[in-house]
Amino acid sequence: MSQSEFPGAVLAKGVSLAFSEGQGWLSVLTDLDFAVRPGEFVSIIGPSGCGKTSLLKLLTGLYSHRSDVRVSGEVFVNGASSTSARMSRQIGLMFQSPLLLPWRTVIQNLLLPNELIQDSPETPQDPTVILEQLGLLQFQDYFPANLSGGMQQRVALARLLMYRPRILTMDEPFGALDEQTREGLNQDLLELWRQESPTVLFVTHSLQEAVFLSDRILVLTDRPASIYAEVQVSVTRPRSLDQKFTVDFLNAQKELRALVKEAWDEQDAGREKGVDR
Amino acid sequence: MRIRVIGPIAVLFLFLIGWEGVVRLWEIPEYLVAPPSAIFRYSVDNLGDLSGHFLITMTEAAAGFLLGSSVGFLLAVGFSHSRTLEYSLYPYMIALKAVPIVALAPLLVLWFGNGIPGKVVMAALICFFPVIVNVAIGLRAVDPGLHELFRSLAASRSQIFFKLRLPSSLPYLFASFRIGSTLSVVGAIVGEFSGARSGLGYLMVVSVYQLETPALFAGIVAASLGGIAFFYLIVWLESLFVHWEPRDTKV
Repeated sequence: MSQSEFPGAVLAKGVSLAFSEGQGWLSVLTDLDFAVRPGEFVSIIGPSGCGKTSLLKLLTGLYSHRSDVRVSGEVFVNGASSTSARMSRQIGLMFQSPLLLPWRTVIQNLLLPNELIQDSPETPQDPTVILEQLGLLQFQDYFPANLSGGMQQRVALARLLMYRPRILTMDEPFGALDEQTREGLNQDLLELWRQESPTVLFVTHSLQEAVFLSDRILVLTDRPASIYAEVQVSVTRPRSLDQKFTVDFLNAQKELRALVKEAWDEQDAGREKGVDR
Repeated sequence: MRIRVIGPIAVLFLFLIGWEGVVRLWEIPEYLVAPPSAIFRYSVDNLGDLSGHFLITMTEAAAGFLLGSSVGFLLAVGFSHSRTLEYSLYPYMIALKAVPIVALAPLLVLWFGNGIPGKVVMAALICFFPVIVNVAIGLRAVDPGLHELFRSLAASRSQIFFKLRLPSSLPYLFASFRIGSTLSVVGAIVGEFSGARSGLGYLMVVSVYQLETPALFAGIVAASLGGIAFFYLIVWLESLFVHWEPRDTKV
């Protein structure tokens, strides 16, 4: 009936979030309303510390049953609560750091999600297929400490694919990587998205990355974050790196930059905000 | 690279030669400082006797180490599961760490007699505190990001314990084993000082009474070698199980 009931959809209605701080509450998100269609690629942009990470953790159900976090409003993930989406592993979170277990090799890290399934009917993925896909096959017996940052994040992406969540929430996954590595991973991610069409919520600081990847971009204000604007990205798909220099792409980026500047100037004029161009 | 091996060996030889030379030159009586040659001669002549005492002391140390470490480890695991248990007992564990355990040695003789059990208990008590304190810290020192990852993967509490907390705590566990390995030998010998019929501590006390200083020195050397061997055994085991840098290395 409503959008919230489609598998793969994400819907937030009047969502606010506050953390307990000393005597009172620190408001982090305020009155967010948005809907993400199944299979849509949505990026989220906002100033540092505005609450983007908190939003993703909220959607992934990591704040349930916590007395120091106050949530109001309604969240539907995959047509149900965020907790049940997490417990049925329909939503997967990729973090800023790779978070690989240092005592496990690459392939053992990939097998972790399978080991943690308690009673799932799904047939386990073959890790070697995914390693092959991401160019990691020759590194399968390496320990994470012996891999570069880009490789580690690639393993983290591979681990996410091991259980194929319908919805991927990604928290600046490539933020710490150099541009070359980041572009490579962006292409890999788009290719995976094209093949499997998961719903993606992607937090980034890079306007260029947001335009390159997304169907739509949510621009958040400073904390407490609310949605300042939504931007449709009209750059044609499938996208290639060469497109970054086309007029369409540059215009989209320019438009987004103006909007972001507007959003952040409005909140606190005078304070400088760092944004990648 | 070769200097790393040759250097220390050369220093050892120079030290032994210097020691021997000083004792002979100034004609220091053997009952005060035994020269290396006398210690060596005593050790060769009494090899059977010496190794008997050595084995008894090392057995006491190893048994005490295993006992103390196991109890400490299990209690630390209990702490990680029950806040009530942790809050009620942990302050005492920290406070008891400051008590000089060796002061209990005469009491242990009273309770356990002159035999091996009292020395095992002594060594166990001394190993217990480093293990419980370190493991309690290690089980809590889990990267919060990894904890969230496990939660996002719908892991159960026992899965989080066995697949995350326990492996994360291994560097802390081995750090406490390293401390415990040398301390357990100290515990066993101190236990023997207070009353025993065998062991290196017994040998040392008796040789002081009989002014048989070469035997005393031989006992000291044997105890040191035992402690060093035990320590490196733990280091070797650690290298098999832990090959990553812990998140928080300061313990």
